[in-house]
Amino acid sequence: MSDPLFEAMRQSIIDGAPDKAVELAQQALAQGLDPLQAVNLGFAVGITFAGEQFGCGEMFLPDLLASAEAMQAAIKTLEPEMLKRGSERKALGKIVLGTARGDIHDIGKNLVATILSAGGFQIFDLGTSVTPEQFVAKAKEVDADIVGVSALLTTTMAGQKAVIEALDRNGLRPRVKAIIGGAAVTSKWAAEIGADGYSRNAIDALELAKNLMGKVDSKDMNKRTALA
Amino acid sequence: MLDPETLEARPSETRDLVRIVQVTETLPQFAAQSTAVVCSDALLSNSLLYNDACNGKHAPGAIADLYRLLVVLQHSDKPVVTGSFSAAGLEGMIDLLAADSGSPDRLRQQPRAVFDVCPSPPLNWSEFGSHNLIDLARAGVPAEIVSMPLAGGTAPVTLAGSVTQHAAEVLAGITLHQLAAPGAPIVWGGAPAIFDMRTGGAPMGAVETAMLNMACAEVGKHLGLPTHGYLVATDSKLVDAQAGAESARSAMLGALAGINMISGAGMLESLARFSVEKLVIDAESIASAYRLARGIEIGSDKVPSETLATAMFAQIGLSGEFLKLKETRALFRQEQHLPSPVIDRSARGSEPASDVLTRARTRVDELVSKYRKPSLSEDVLRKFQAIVDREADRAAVEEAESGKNVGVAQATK
Ligand code: B12
Repeated sequence: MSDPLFEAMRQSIIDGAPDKAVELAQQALAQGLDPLQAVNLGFAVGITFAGEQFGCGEMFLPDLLASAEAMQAAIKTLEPEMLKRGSERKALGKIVLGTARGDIHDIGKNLVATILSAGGFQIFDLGTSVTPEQFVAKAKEVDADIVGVSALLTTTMAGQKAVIEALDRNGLRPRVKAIIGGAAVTSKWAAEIGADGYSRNAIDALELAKNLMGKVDSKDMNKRTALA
Repeated sequence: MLDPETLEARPSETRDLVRIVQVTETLPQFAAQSTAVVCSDALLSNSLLYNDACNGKHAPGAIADLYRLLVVLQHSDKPVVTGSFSAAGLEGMIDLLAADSGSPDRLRQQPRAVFDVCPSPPLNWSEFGSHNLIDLARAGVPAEIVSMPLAGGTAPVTLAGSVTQHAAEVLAGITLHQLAAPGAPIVWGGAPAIFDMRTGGAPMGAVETAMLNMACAEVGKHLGLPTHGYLVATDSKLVDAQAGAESARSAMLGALAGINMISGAGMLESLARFSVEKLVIDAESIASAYRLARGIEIGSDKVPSETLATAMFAQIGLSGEFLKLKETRALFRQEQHLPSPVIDRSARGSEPASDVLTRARTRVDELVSKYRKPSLSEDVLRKFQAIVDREADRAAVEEAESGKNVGVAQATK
């Protein structure tokens, strides 16, 4: 889209400028533009681009976080009008995340949450040292699509297995998918405990989650935007 | 573990830890032995404990910290650097050390091990960390406070700001520790690093990480405390040029800063991967760093010489036969670090020349064949057995109970 307004919206996200994004969102509302269009043709193009730039190492974490913040600010401004028009922007899916019982490492898990959320998922982060029953309760409460368990210690990897067993026991799987990650986690371990997926880093986690939702990514930008 | 044959990472097992100990025991560069890796075979596949004393016993996952200490105590005579993975895990580990020393009092008088205890950045002490500090202080076993600010991620992006956070976290820990038992032994430790802005990782091989370690140690020295840092590690996943460059560089910097204890040798992938081959290469960097720290000296107590070496010039004249001088023979071992064949200084031979990983593999095999297992008395082994049995039962009960909470069948291992 070469419309200068959409172009400016895209740029405000890439620049990580929440004030500018809000200003542009307000401008769009004042012009009577469909807010969903503002998102899909403007802001979301920016966040997708930022995600890609981050993925190939051209953009850095502080930049990406600023882009995500700008995106959130824009959406927040547009939301009331979207609700009014019944054109609510749907999240790609709901993901419950947490670090396994007995484990306090959370840097990787937080990064996964950031990338998944920037990629269009709704995240429910339970924090660190989360018990299987807490995972199950949250998954039920929010009607989650995916449960993600991080574990950095060899000893707490057993907690990932416990979560999967608890999901099974509560009849949540196979509808709810279980994904795992963390430094010591291997594909072999993921297979052994019957996880639905595993990834080595946050970017792959986004692809994984999209695949599990049946939203296979296409290189086609417009199609991607429509999903975001 | 980096498998030296396939060059792929695989979960570490008891045999890996034993091999690490065997190599460390035979290398004088290493003043202490680390319980370097977690043994996955003792945890997840429920295989037999490695040693004869505990033959037939399974090790539940919750005692992985105790298990690796057990393996090290059975194979090493050196001081030990270790740490527990939970609040409840520490007691068994201290009991094990007391059995090794003869009694809790003997352990207190001459502790064999130091325990790493981590605050949770920024500026937080978890219940687990706090418990460990207090219990160690009361047992009189040294604690090493390993504060790990990651500059820009879990700490201020400025290096100076991260040094400040490190000091605050360690001082808070020392306060807790000293209130529990005034005068209890403590080490001003740390694993400060920068935060990688692309991956969120902790780049242990970065020069800024080394700078942070140097600066944090300087604060500890100012306070008159023994210091510790995490260096000689790399972010590379293979034993390659990057691994060598980063590890050797930080070894030098650590030595120049006068840090008393340095952890990290043998480690790849920002501390997530271990290589025994890298350990023997790092040993050469460490020897070089020791050499550097010693500086340029003038002779020795036994063979004094003068700064300008005029006596040596006078004896040899213009003949150039310095090799013949008794001073040369008496002093060259002190003047030069004589590397093992891991370092290639060989005369030109057949092509292609060997690479460092190949030489390191050979060196590891040689050292392992030189290693002799220390013998522990049957009495000590029986005590070990009883402690491991007790802790395994405790862990099994805890595991069953937490299983009950989620309605997981009791049959889980
Ligand atoms: C930073 C760190 C800490 C910090 C944690 C701060 C925090 N808020 O998280 C502190 C200092 C507090 C710490 C404490 C401890 N640590 Co620590 N720590 C590390 C270190 C150096 C880096 C971890 C990290 O943040 N990496 C960066 C992130 C971005 O990577 P990541 O976590 O792997 O996540 C990525 C992927 O794995 C994946 N991913 C992660 N989670 C998930 C989840 C899902 C669903 C998916 C799909 C993907 C995914 O995507 C992420 C983003 O790309 C690692 C070594 C290492 N390189 O892994 C040791 C390490 C994990 N720690 C270790 C240990 C032993 C401990 C302690 C027990 C030490 C002690 N004695 O007190 C305690 C833990 C206590 C406890 N009960 O939890 C060991 C574990 C050994 C083992 N095999 O079990 C390691 C390997 C270091 C070592 N060799 O000794 N640690």
